[in-house]
Formats: sequence, structure tokens, C-alpha cells
Amino acid sequence: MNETNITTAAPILHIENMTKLYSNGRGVRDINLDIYPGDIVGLLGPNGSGKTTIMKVVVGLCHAQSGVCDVFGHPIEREYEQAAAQMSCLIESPALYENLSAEKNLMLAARVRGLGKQDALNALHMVHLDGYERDKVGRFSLGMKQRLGLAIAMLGDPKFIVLDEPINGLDIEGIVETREMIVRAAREKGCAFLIASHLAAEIERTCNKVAVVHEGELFSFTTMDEALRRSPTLEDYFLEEVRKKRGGAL
Amino acid sequence: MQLFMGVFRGEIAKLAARKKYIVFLVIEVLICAIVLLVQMAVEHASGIGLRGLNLRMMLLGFFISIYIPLIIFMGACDLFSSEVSENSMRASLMRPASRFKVFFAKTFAVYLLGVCYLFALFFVTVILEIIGGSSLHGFFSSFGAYLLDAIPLLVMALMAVFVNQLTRSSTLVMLICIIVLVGSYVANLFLPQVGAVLFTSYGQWHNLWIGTTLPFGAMIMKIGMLLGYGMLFFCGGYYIFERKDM
Ligand SMILES: Nc1ncnc2c1ncn2[C@@H]1O[C@H](COP(=O)(O)OP(=O)(O)OP(=O)(O)O)[C@@H](O)[C@H]1O
Ligand SMILES: [Mg+2]
Repeated sequence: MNETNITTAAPILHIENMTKLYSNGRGVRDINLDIYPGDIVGLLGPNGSGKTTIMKVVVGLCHAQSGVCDVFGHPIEREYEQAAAQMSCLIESPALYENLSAEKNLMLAARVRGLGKQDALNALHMVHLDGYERDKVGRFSLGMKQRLGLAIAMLGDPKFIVLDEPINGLDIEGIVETREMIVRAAREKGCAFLIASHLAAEIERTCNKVAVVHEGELFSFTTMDEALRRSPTLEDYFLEEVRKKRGGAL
Repeated sequence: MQLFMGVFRGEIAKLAARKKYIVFLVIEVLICAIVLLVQMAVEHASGIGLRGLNLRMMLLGFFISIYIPLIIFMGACDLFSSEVSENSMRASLMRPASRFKVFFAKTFAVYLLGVCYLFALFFVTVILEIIGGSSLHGFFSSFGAYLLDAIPLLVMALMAVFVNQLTRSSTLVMLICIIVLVGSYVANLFLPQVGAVLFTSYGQWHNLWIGTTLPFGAMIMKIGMLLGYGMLFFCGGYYIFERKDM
């Protein structure tokens, strides 16, 4: 899984000393992270550690106070359109219009990307929601909304995809299919992924790199192989890292 | 441009999917029909010809100063504050269109909604007058009046969008907008000097142009004032929208 050449390719995502603090003083500090084509990076961390915050800065929903955040070589804030042209995301619960049908929700995203109705229907088919295109999203189940959110994120073959808890609410089949889809897109098309989850087992199966976030700080960004060489499972690795950090801080 | 049109069509689609706008359009038509019927009944009973007052201009005053602003406030709430509070605003901001394009498309969609109601009023009243057997005198000058009144409507839309940036509660936004609207009408009534510098006093903008001979200088000043309000609301609204964390 570790065949990407780190030294030659330009990074898709480059974060350097990025700090984002909310008005209540919480947030993330001094984040450094580089993602290259074909990487599937897992962000692992407890609740409230700042995974979503990092992702929101990366996709331009939140503005960082300081530091660099470049996507495809473009600073996300100043050159948003160039940076976001090949990026897509699913952050927290999918952002859907409940009073619109599934197809209309997809069309809202498709039109901006210059795609048509057929692309929208293909995306629906990919997440097995065909037959529901005319149903109002407000009447969808949790997992169906999640599937629709994934369909929107995969629309138009983006090269960099940010997924926050992608398998939240999905059934067993959905989990397996999502994982396969991610791995396939990375291997065949060189897509890069940034995936947040608090399920260590899922990250271990999907990702080839792992970053641990804890209390607003990102530490130990390594390859999955390296992490698994040090500890028997990713869960053990995570607990060890966090303990090391706590010990060091005390 | 393709990017902007994509966003803009999406905003229009969102407004069109809300049935209440159709209902309000039907109510508009009904109001017109009722007024025409009352007018004809009065004419019939009293024998006094009221045909001099054409329906188009009579109803324009009411709709432009109350009904259409309310529709615009509602549209602005639907596309801004309710989206923020329902967490669907993120959907627009996660697409590869800049925040400026999103803001501009939404604002323009809100304005277009008001303009649709305005011209729907024109065509409905014209059709009703034809059915009622009126002569349609002054057709072009009244059309001109409608066109002129579409201009201050833009400032109304910009104001509503601006207020939407201040809070995420649509109820509060509606309340503030209505207070501003009604407050300025009241101020206009009791303190005409104050009213003259408020943007809402241009609700019946056409009155300034048609049938009166205002000095050129005063005209320029009024246009400038309207422009100033428009710029202020647009820039202020965009400034807040651009900086917001979603
Ligand atoms: N809009 C906000 N305003 C103020 N503080 C916030 C805001 N959003 C998040 N926070 C705070 O920032 C910190 C990081 O939150 P974040 O949502 O990034 O955590 P997370 O790692 O995604 O957690 P989870 O695993 O539960 O999704 C938390 O302490 C949270 O309280
Ligand atoms: Mg989160």
C-alpha cells in the first residue's frame, strides 16, 4: 500500500504551522501535514480533539488565524476556486436540503461542477439509492443521507476528498463498499483522501498513513506500516502515542 | 461565469421548490381581482366613473411598499439565515465557487424573486383590466413606473440580505426587517425630513419621476442616496458573510 513516491510529487495538501482557535479558545494549534497523490490519511483522535476543525480549515469553511494551508498549491483562502476545483468533502452530517429531492440535491452540486443529470443519476446508482431520486431527503434514514452525502462528495471525479466520519450510520455492506471505493480511487486514479474517524479498526483497514490528533495538536504522522510495526494494532498505537504525549506534557 | 450560473440556478431552484411562493402569488392575484370587483361594484352603484384610477397604478402603491418587501424578506431568510441554522449553507460553500459568487448569486436570486412578483402584478392587473373592459390608457407610462420601482427594490433586497448576516434566527431577521420598514414609514409620516434620507422612502420611486418636475440636482441626490445605501448593505453584508465560520 506504500508505493507512492513521497520525494518527487508535489503535495496535494500542504499545511504548515496552522492554528485555528474559536472564540472560546478551543480549536487546533500548530498543525503540520502534507498529503501526496494516492495517500489515504486517517485522522485519529478522541471526541473534541479537533479533527473536524482541521478539515473545515482545509476545505475553506473556517478561516485559520495563522499558518499555511495550500490545496493543489493554492492557498485555500486567497485562491479558493483554484484550490477547490478538484476537491470535495463530506464534513460531519451531510449538508443536504431536506425539502428537496435526492436528485435535486445532487443537481445543486453537479451544476456548479459543470455536470449534468446523467452524472447525478450515476452517482446515485453508485451508492445504491436508485429508485429514491424523487424522494424528499427529509424523509431519508440516517444511513441514506450519509450515502447521498458520499455520492455528492464523489461527484465529478475529484482528486482530493475530505471525509469526516464517512461510515457514520452506514450498514455493513455500505461500510465495506465505501472502503473499497476509497482504496480503488486512490490506487487507480491517484486520488488523495483525508479521513477522520474515531474507529481505529476502520482507519487501520482503509488508510495507508495515520495522524493522531489530541487536544488540538497533531503529532506522530507516520505510515500505517510503521505504526503497525511498533504496535500490534492501530488501537494500541494510538493509546501508546497519547500516553507518551500526556507523560511528556506532565 | 459557468460557475456563477451553476450557483445561481441552484438558488433559483431552491426558491422555486418552496410552495409558499406560489401561494403568495395566488394571493396577489386574488387581491387584484377583489379590488377590481369592488371598484366595479362601486362604479355600478354610484354611477360615478372611477375608470380614471387605473388598477395598475392603484395596486402598485400597496404592493411595492408592503407586500413585495415582505416577500423579499422571506426569500432572503430562506436563502441565508435558515440555511445557516439548518446547516445546509455549508453545501453551497463546499462547492468550488468562491464565497463572493455564492453571496452574489443568493442576493440576486432574492432580488429576482421580488421583481417576479412586481411584474406578475403588472400582467395580472392588465389582464384583469382587459377582462373588466377598461381602456388600458397610459399603458406605457405605467409600465415605466413598474420598471422604475424595480430599482429601489434592489436596495430592499440588499438590506434584507445584510440583516440576515447579523443573526442566524430567521424570526429575528423578519422582525428587524419589518420594524425597519414600518418604522421608516412612520418616520416618513411624522418627520418628512428624516424620511427623505431613508432608503425605504423610495418605495414609490416612480412618483418622483412621473408627473412631477423635480429639479435635476435633487434627482441626482436621490439616485446617489439610493446607490449609497445599496453599496453599504452589499459591502457590509459580504464582509460579514466572507468571514463567517460555518
Ligand atoms: N463553532 C465552534 N465554536 C467554538 N468551539 C468549537 C466550535 N466547533 C468546535 N469547537 C471546539 O473545538 C474543539 C474541536 O472540535 P472538533 O469538532 O474539531 O472535534 P472532533 O475531533 O471533530 O470531535 P468528534 O470526534 O466528536 O467529531 C472542541 O473542543 C469543540 O468544543
Ligand atoms: Mg468531528
